[in-house]
Amino acid sequence: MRSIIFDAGPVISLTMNNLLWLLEPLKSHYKGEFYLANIAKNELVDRPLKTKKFKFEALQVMRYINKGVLKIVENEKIKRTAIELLDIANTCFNARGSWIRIVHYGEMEGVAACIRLNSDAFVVDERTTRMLIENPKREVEILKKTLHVDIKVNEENLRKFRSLTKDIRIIRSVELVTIAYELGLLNEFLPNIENPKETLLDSVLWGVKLDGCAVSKREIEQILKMEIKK
Amino acid sequence: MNETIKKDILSILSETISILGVKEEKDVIEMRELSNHTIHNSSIFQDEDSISIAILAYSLSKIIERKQGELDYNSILNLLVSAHGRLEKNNVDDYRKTIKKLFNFISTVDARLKMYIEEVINQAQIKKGSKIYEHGISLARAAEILGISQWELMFYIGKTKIADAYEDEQASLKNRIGYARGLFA
Repeated sequence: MRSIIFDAGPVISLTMNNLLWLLEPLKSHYKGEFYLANIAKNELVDRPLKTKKFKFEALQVMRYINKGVLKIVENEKIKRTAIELLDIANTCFNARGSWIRIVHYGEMEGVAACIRLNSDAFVVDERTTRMLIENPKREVEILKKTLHVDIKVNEENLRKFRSLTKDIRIIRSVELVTIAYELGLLNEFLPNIENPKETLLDSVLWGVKLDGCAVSKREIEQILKMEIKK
Repeated sequence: MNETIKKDILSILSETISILGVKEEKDVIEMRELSNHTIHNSSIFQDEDSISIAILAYSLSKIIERKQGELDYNSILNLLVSAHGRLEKNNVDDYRKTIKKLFNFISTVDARLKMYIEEVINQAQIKKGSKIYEHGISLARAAEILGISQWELMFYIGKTKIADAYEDEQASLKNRIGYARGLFA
């Protein structure tokens, strides 16, 4: 069975924009499973349910888990791979004599699930995991530029990490809403104003950006240009 | 406590003592600038001491902004001097207790402002979390370091310019959309 793994971030961006419902029709088009790693479920549902903030959002996510739209994946092999990835990733960069713990177990559990299930994609909105998988040199540039210190790179561990994650394809919530738009899933929201399609697409792209999806203003303009030209 | 961290915290405490030594209008700006500098160690070492001093510096800047005229600098200064002395003598436990006392003092500085101060501390955590994310630490890790939820952090980060400052190449965007299109066709 083909599958796509979701990090907590894209589920947060979609929920905050009242777009979580898109997962159901997207899943029908995909004809496979949508999985959440167990720790992501903890962040999305269990933790906010214990507080006042984002409680209703947690209930919305829970509904899609209970319906089976998002399934929880957890097994020993995934856990072992996640720990291995976490150890490698967090000993790739050194500053002032200290290894920078760059990623969290939760993100690595998602990556590990992708590897173990041979999934088609990892949906992740945050920048660091994506950079580490796709363009670690850029990650080094960011660390150097923002921390203003020399960064020593453990090339061997970086190579190991890249080798373990080389087949992972990453998409973000911004690509999910673009595809939903292309598929006409958002058509009922087309406004009765000038440039309705552009307005609709612009609204959802900016919606997910403003709720934390790491997409730039220039990328949004590029998407709009590509989609409206069609 | 790591010697590098200790040295940096001592320097931050000295600067804070120097800023608050004389009550001036520029204290707010100076404290805010100091707070921005303190966060780098939180990203690198991710230890509780670097994090708490960063949160403290930011919270102090906000409280001075709000209550400068009425704020009792002396009580804060006494605690800062005491924290500095204890850390200098390697009494790490006593240093941490003094920092805790500083937070308690800030929280009780004005009963009318209790809610505001709680909010300031929460805002400080989110703001520092977003800085740590900007430095290249992952979102979940940044949230964990500051003890906040990813919901809160994403909500805040989305309103910053972090994603615009370090964007992807345009070619990868086209590839990504093309790949996603293939998945859902």
